[in-house]
Amino acid sequence: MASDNRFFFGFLARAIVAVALLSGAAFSQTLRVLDARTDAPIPDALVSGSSETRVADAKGAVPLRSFSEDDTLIVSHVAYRAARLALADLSDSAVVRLAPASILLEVSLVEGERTAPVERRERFSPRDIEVAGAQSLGAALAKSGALEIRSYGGGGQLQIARARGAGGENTLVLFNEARVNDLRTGAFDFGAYDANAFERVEYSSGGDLRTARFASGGAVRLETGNPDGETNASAFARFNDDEGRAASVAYRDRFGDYATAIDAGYAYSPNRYEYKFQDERYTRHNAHYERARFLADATRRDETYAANLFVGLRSFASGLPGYVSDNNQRGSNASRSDLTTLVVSDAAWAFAEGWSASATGSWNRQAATFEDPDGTMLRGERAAETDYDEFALDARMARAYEFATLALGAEARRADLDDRGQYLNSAIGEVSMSRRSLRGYATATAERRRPFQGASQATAYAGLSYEGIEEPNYPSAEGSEFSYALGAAVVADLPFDPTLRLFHADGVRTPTFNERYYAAALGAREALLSERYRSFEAALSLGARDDVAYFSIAWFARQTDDKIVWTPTVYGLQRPRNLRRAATTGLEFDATIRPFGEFLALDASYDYLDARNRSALSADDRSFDKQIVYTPKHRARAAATLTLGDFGFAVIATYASRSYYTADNNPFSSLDPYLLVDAHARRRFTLGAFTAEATLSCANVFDESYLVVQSYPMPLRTIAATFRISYKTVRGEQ
Amino acid sequence: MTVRFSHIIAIAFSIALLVGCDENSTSGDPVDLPKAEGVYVVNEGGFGQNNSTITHVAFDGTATQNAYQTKNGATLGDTGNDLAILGYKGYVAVNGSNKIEVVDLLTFESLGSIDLGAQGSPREILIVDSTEAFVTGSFVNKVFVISPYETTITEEIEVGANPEGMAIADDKLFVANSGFGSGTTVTVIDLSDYSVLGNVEVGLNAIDVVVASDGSIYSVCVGAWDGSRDGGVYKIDPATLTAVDSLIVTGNLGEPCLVAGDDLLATNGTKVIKIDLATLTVEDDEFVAGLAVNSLYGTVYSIAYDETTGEIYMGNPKDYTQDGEVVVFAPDGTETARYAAGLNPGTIVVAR
Repeated sequence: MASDNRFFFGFLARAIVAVALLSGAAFSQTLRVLDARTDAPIPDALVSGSSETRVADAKGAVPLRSFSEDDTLIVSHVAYRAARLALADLSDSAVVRLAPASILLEVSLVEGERTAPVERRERFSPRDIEVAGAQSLGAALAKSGALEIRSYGGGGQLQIARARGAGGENTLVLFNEARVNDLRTGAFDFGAYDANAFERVEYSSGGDLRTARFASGGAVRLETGNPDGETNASAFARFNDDEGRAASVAYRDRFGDYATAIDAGYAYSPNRYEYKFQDERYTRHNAHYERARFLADATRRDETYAANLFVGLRSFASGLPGYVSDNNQRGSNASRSDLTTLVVSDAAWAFAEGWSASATGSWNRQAATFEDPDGTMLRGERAAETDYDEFALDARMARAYEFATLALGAEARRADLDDRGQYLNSAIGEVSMSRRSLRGYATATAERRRPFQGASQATAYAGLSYEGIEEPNYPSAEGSEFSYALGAAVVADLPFDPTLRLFHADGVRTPTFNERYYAAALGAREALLSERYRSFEAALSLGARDDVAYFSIAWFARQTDDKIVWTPTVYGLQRPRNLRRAATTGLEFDATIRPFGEFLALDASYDYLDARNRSALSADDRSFDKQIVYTPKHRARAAATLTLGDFGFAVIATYASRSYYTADNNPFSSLDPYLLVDAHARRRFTLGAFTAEATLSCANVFDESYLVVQSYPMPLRTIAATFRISYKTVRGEQ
Repeated sequence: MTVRFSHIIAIAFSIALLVGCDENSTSGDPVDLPKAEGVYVVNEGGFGQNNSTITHVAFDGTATQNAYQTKNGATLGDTGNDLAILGYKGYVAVNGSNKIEVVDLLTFESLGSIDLGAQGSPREILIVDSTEAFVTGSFVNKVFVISPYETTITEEIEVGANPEGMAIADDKLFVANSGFGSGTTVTVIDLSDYSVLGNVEVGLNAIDVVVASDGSIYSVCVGAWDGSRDGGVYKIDPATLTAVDSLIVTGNLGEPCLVAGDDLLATNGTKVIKIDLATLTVEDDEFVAGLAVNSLYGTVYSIAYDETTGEIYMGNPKDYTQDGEVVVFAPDGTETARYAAGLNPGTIVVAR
């Protein structure tokens, strides 16, 4: 045994030395982009060479190995003046410091981009998303570690993002900074957008800290536009073996102070895929979809003023296939058709040294039509229409000091649901609903370089929000809610930059329109209460994602009082109720290793989630201390990416353990564990400013049948071929 | 050796005589078929989750869970809504699976099914005999006439919106049209030719029809789910096809209701009340407290009556998301037994 131990520790010591040497080698080939005044790293700075553009990571680091030795690099960021550097002149440990472009943008930088975030953040680039060959944004995000995507069928069916055991209504979704959670259900349909419609997708575990909108399921930020002032054009096409087709074009340009982006796309699929049910193979019918989008951004920016206007139009039509339990052999013939309009206008003005004001206005309109020739899904009706409008205006003022920024803001919001908002679940009667809210909030952020011995950086955050809500349909439910959050992050002055993060939030979620309506319509005599949660998060990370090695471990705990759960009543209609208390704890491991630089990247993540009902209604209540429904305890993801010149190959495996759909965790009513394996092969061609790329993807390689009994089966093996051609120039500024 | 044809006839006749001379039977007497026995519970499961089950409780108290799937491997289907028994055969209305599943209730072996077609959605079954039974199709607004023996559909009758419970009286079939909360009629069908005689206006959300021991016909109406309109019991005159009397009951008279003797037992919110049908008055405003059945929410999901013992069986769904129970009460309302059941025990049938 002793000799075994000696061998083990010897091996460990050699491994540590090897990793240290490798990391040292990698760092020596990295360019650091820093703020010229504070030395703070600049995340998202762009470093462009003759044929490639790379984005700086959270530490401002950009690996240089992929650039040609004779390249002249343009280093740019929207908040800074660009710099031009010859790669041949750079030393091994090169640092470039950019000067802030204006007083206004300096404020934006200090407020918006913390170098050491106090919460978990994950970013997904368009490239990460597109390479998945996925038919929707939700399908692409399902391959990420941070988010769990609950899919209600393949392709264009409903897809909802969940995180840490909280439902989709608890996950805030911001589309160009406008909240787009539909107040009917509280969720956002990630199946309604193509995977490549966005420039950037980011997940934050605490919510939107900038405007103190905290959420137990975190926030997903979707961004379009041309934030970096690029000039490029691209075209994309995807062909699936289930006859699904998608095509899109995008154009970005800049004219003086103006930057524009236009994106248009179309996708169609009969979505007639096979699945297995009780050992028989069936074909999923009436799940077809068709979606089109037109997204346009225009930005004007000068030294003290910035404004952006976004207009997005989306149409989405799909079949509603019904339930698997009747084997779909004679499922529903119903269909839906949505037309969504989203307009977001931002403006920011730096009116004095350190002072800035900004405002965001948004209008979100969703017009939906349902047709149900058999009267099945609409319970006897043949057609229904519903319109939803939401207006929001957020105004804030910020004061930036040397190490801290204070901000005060106010938000007014009004949402109106016209007529039959409660489609599908009932035809109890026509109803119009509305909600008005007024919210005030304050945030304080502070950052110090070398705050004390042994620390290279520290960040602190405090935010509070007070919201008053008026609901004409439910006067007894009107009231006000108070929320706050605190966070801190410290980066140790050691190799691999060990970073400790702490975050605490005490937040609230007001019931959605559907929850309000059904609680009252189905006999609840008392108004449904808002959910209130208290969450704690502690995390330790080493390295950065682009480094040779990155490791992160996060622990979190959340207690939710009056959690809203849906339970069946007569006719299969479900009614929301308050569950007195639910408790969730979890561990999240995340690791990336690049032992041979760009050649091989190995990513792995594992999430343990213990989410239990902690309230017993009586001694007979067998749901006490049981796992919350549809919440697997274990989820894991492993990915290997191989890059050899213009060739790339990736394999991604995702696993979810058994989950239950009855509160007493009866194994008879459970969804089996599943392991999905996807594979992608890529070939890139470059000709001057043109780059073409072809990808062949195979999803669910081993034909795993999963989520069937839940009534929304997922497709078996699917193959997709994607093609992208782009023309790109980068205009730098000295 | 040659065998003559006349010898073969003689041998065959002799064998037939020997086979027919069973000491326990007499030529011309009917042979008794085996009969189902015990308490059968159809647990709905979750809507769309394909997890309906059957629980059997023998009269000695032995409970068997998930009997159908244990025997057949496959699940019973989605949202089993009703069970009617004919001899040893059980006919289960599996609403979400659009079928009537025929089950041998002694072995729980599947004996086949009756496909009701697209959106057939069987809600309740009323068996007349082996050649005639009625099934309400809640999404298709029809009553299916089926032959239990041949497991075929023989007729389809258009009725009102979202038909639910049925009863036969005065050679007529009475069908409650709930409209899923908005219906106010009972459709009356002539059993001789299945023609619709008319619709009787009753209260809001007509969910069932019951017949008292004197042959009087009553419709049970739930009222508005949001409490804006009370439910009640409406007495129907089969000659004039009108409601001639009514009892308005505050709250929501529930779907689970039955006639025990001359009384109607029905859920009403979180209690079971007893109504004297002869006088149309509430005899006991809280015959059984809901919390005595279901200590979680006080809701009672099903009621059955044992005509032999007078015992009353009630289904306890707990919070609808976990396995429930069957609770047995003596005629005076005191609890005598409690058995485990499956998820959402929505139908209980006592067979002797």
